[in-house]
Amino acid sequence: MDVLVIPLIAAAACALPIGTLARPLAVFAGLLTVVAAGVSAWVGGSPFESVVWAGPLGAQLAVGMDGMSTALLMLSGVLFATGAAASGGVRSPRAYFALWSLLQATVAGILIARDLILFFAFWEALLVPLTLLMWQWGGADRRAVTLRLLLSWMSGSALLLTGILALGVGARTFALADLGGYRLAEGSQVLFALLFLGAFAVRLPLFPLHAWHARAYVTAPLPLAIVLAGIISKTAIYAIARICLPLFPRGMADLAPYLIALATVGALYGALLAMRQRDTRTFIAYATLSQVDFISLGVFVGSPTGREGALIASVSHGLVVAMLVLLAGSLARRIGSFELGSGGLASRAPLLTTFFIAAVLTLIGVPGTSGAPGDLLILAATFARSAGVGLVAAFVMILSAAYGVGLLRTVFFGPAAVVAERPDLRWRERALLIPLLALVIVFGVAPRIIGDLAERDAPATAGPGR
Amino acid sequence: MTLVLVVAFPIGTAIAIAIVGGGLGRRTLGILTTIAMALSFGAALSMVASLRDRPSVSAFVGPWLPIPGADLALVVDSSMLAVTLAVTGVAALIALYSIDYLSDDRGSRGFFAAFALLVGGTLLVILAANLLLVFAGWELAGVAAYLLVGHHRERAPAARAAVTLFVTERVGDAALLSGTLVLLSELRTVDLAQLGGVSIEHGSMAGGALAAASVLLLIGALAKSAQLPLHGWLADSAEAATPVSAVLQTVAVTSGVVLLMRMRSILVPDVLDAAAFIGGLTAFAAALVAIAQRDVRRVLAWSTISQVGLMFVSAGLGALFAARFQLMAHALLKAVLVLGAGSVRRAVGDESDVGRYGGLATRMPWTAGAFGIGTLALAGIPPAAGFFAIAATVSAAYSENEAILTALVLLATLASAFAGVRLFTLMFAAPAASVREAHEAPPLQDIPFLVLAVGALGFGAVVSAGILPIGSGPTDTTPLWLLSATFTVALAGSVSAWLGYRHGLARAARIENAMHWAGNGLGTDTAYARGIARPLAAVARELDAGAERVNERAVGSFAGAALSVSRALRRSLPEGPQARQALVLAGTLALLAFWTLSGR
Repeated sequence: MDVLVIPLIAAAACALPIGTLARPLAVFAGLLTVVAAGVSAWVGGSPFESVVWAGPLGAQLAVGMDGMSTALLMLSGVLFATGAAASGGVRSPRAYFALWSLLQATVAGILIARDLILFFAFWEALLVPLTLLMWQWGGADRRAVTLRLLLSWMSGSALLLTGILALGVGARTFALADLGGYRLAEGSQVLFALLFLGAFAVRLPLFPLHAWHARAYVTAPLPLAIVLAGIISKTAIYAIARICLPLFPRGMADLAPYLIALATVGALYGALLAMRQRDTRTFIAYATLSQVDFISLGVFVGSPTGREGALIASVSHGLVVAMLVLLAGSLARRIGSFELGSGGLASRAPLLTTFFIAAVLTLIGVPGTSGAPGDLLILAATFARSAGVGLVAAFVMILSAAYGVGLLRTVFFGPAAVVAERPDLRWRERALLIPLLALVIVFGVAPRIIGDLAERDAPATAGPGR
Repeated sequence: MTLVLVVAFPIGTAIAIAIVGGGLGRRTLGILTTIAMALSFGAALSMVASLRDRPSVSAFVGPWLPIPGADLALVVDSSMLAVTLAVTGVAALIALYSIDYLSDDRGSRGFFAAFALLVGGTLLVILAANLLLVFAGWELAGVAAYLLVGHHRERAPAARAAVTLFVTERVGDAALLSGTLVLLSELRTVDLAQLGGVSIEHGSMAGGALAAASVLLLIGALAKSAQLPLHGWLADSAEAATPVSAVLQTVAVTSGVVLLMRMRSILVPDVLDAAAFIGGLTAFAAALVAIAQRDVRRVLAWSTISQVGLMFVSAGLGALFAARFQLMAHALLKAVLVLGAGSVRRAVGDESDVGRYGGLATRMPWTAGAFGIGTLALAGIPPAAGFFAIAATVSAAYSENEAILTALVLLATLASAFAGVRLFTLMFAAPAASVREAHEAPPLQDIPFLVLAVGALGFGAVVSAGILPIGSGPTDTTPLWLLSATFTVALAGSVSAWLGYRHGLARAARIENAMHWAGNGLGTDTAYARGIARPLAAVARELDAGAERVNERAVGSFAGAALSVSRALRRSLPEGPQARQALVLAGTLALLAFWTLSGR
């Protein structure tokens, strides 16, 4: 519960005339969330609370944390703190950071809700701060892009709401704990799974539902791009793993071949398009499309190995996307645009180059970084299901190398470039990147830290009922 | 735990240099790396005794991934210990050479970190107890090689070579990982010892999957060891700095051979035969290409591709002693040649066209002497190490009744001897092409490669006499006529090259013209550009211009359709607030009725 309350308090505090204190407050709220989630995981026995909310409807104010949500909550705290720290000099800071903290609260809500109505409330509430942030603080073309995003997401949500209501009315409860015991007729499971997936797949985005995606990354303010790619897309992974799989096991099993095909194609498609991008932000967008579709593959194959891999890969991708977006911002400040292809920065900015290389290597999953263990487990689960699909998915490795080192070559290699006076990273920029890099290495060497969390997922299916 | 130290010294050094290396001087970094490599070598040497009385030693560090067998664990037997000794020993000497060679290089910190990482990754490939850890080392070594080749980033050819290298390496990585995961899903473990046992137990039962896994692992080995048709990256990497070429051509390329040797009991026989045949073909073709090169670095790179091909022949035939012998001998002799060529290039002002050298024997006597020994070893003239290694390979092919392979190996020996002696003659013996000042390299560069030259000279005799415990092979049973034939072929290649080139390149125009077709390699680069890179880029372009736009437009028209439906609905519905409320109520009632009925 405290992971939800902390950002809400921070958001409310922004209503006070605190001026420049808003940013430190938002950073602090993010870090405190990490601590709160960490403590509750460390104390053990996840706090499972429930309050009767809308009794006649069968809806509860039930919240709880399992291993997966703990890991993602900590990631969310890190990313929101990083994003807030990187939002120096925004217009009307109080409004910005109030919305920022509100966004963090809704993400936390999605991750702890143990009741479908509550889940849906947070799922939709997230749109309010997100679209306002894009609408007000976004770049060129922000109105049209925001509208497109809003339309896509709400179309999915309409399906989700239909599914939730139909399921809840049939089962006479919305609590996930009780729904776990509810046996839905096998014939209707596919329909329900599709309704729920409608919303989740758009937000992921699963190929081919990514039309909102690339432009949103270009338009969104950079800190928002961090959380959009880093954690908001992961809430969809979480929702598929935590809601679709346990509630509609048969339906998901029937749909699995198609979902696996879409995820594999999406991973290849994103990687192919990432090779062509001439803008760091669209590059990150398509690389992210490739990666999240690959991560969703781990969930769709439906084995514990795959889910564990998906969780590790989610955390890793969140961290590395934060690094990449920060670096893209640093790069743009130095060469004046997000365009690629100037080249030759390596000799002028060795530190920037080093961080960029480390981030790209993590992105493409080199062992020793956190990118590898998750990808390995997902691939292992895919091969265990079908060697053919596994081979196609392994091809993503080759394409990712091509887009990764291709990017490095166009930006950093080649004859020395003419750039600003002091092109290398300042201390303020390093202070944000170093902790992220440290986490990436730690999780790369000891992926068990996340894996052990994922194994404590008993409360997801069994817990105190109403 | 000594075994852990062998791997921990290089990897720890890489991490330490990456984190705190900024505050250290260039020489300090080099000395640190050299000491770490030497310590790793020492740790490996101290294990020789412990392997006398048992077949293998293993070390368990901790759990790693939640996959059966995927722990952080190492294992070594006497065969892999020999390879470890060669790799760490040669690496230590290359690092020693680099201290002086890179003393004016601004990026030496990155170089030494990547160097140590490359050695550490390769050692993991040699020593890891399971295939996933092998994969980790495999890919780390690939990344380190990428960083090393991209070390001189401001030079466009080096940057291009680095991209080629990494993408090829990644093809190998993907193949190795896929093969591993196929084995995992069939045999339920990635532990190498268990895999060996289980696959023998299964026999032909898991035939299809085992064959697929074997093919994938072979592709991985071909990419890593620069064999046909995935050899292009090594030739291109000749653009890199001398110590980089040296470590790539002695340490990095051996990984594929090591994989074949370690997976011998798991791979299906047909794939092993294919490995031997591809190796033989590569050995011959690459040696021919080496003859046609004018850049000294490219001569050596192609010669390496050829020599590694010989290792594939032995490993594929199951002659592990011959493969190991060739691997160790080649590491020594190629380190001599690459480092010697680096010293020469530096002495004559970064000139690398063999046509413009000549007459350096008197100006750089030590270098010339060591390079000469390396050349003899490469050509296979006894008593240098190369002869014994080639003889072991030939006798392996012969004893398996592989006539074609025996012929290929002998032809490769001929061409390889010709290419090696041609290079030596043009550099040191032919009349000076353009008069230049050239001085002997500083002692810190000379010492390591003199040591290597002594090794290249004496190693073969020492092994053949059974002094070094790297095992023994069928050399004793080789018929004498085969040994004489091998010697004759090597001598013929050497002498004809000497006669052809002793008056300089200009006087050998006929040979050069005859070999002109091989100047640009084997044509795979253009084939890949035309057959893979360009179509992929075209597909990506079409997707970008086609599918993405169609997708965006589809969403746009969906939104448009929704809007027009909504407008049409509003127009067709009765006006006024009360009518609408009635409509909403009716809809809600209908839904409720549906749920109540369907809930039963």
